[in-house]
Amino acid sequence: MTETEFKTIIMPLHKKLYACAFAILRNESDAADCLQDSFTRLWENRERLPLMDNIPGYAAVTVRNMALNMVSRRPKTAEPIDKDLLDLPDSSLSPAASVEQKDSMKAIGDMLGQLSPGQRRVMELSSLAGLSNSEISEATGLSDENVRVIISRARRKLKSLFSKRNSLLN
Amino acid sequence: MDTKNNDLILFKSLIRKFYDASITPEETRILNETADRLLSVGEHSAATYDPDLKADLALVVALRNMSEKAMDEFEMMAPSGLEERLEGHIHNLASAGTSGRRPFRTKKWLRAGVAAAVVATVITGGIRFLTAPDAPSGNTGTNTSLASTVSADSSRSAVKGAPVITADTTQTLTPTISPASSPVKPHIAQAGHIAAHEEMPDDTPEIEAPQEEVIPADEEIDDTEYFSPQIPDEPLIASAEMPEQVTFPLLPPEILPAVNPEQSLKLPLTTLSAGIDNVFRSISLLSESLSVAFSPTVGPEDDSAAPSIPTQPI
Repeated sequence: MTETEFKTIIMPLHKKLYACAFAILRNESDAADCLQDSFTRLWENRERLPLMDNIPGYAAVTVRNMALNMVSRRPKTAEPIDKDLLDLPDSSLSPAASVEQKDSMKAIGDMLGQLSPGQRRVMELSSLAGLSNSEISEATGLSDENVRVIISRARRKLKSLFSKRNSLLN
Repeated sequence: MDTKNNDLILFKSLIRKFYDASITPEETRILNETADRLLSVGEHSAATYDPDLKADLALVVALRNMSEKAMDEFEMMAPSGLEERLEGHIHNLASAGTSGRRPFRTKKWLRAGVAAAVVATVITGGIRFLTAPDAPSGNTGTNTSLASTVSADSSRSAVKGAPVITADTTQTLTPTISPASSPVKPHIAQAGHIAAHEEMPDDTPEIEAPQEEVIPADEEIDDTEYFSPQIPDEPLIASAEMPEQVTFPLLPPEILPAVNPEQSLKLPLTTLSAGIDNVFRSISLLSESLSVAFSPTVGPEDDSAAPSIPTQPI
């Protein structure tokens, strides 16, 4: 595979791949470095790319694994979630649905804001980055069981909030 | 109708795992798709009648939307110049000819392998040289060369029973180790001789160590050029209990040629110590080769650690 062919396939994905890296690392420079290292890995395996059915998925997994390696080497400190990220309107929805969605996301953001930094970090990696419990355990240094309990409690609490909100609306 | 019931059953099964946080990413994807189908039915959906199910659906959809929105925001946050930086990086990789392997590491292991092969050849050659049987009379060259490797450090060579080998000795040395009452310092035989060994009979099968031979202090050889490790002052082999047949203790059996034990060489103590010196020399060569192989630049070999043969007369 030539350089031009590689760029044609991989470069259009660079923003999505950056988002994957940032969702885990939550640091712009680290995410850019992770992306560069991932591109090196993809370049080394470029001969196998044409044989794959899902190149974007393979690239995303490569970036995710690289980001997990980087975050596992970092000191285990949690960056708080940016609650403004949860207030983005969806222009494709009707006004009522958009409001409801915004309320729901705001409720989630408010609830996550009540968590400790460590618990919030776990929920971010679970809900935003879509990592599995074992991957979250590796990234945060917590045990698998601890991660599972944190996510379970957070989701049950969210359900109770949504139930109360629905009962009030009804 | 069956599809809706199946979706309901599937959703309830997966939502339990969702709250237990034991759901896998693939099951989460199925949960989201099932939730979309249940909500798409409209006002006749089960969610309309079951408030608990409604809350579950709302939560699943809200979390998914939050994730999608966050990822969109992260994409927009990509720093300017990132694309150019990545393109330049790919261009550098292509120019360097990276092919998935790391040439420096490959070359490093290649050099280490070559160095190890050379050292193994040297060691094998040294072992074969040492274990070769002595030739019949007239093999002065062999004897001289053997004798020339004997260390004569006065501080570490008080080996009892050590015979003296001179350059004039033309006899076949069938080595044996015989006890001696007083320590005798072996000397490198280049010239001269000791009176007690002025003449060796042609057919002498053994060399008896001089019983009362004492080397004057002024004739001691300056042997400070010999390399470490130091041979201890105590005799390496016990005098009284010394076996007649001596084999190299440091060499494994598989290296030694198949030899009839009854015909084993009876090496003199000087030859045994010569063998030990050769082993130490081989080890130093090995360490030197490895250091050269793993160093950034390979410079000329340094023979400073190699022992030099003292040329002092006896």
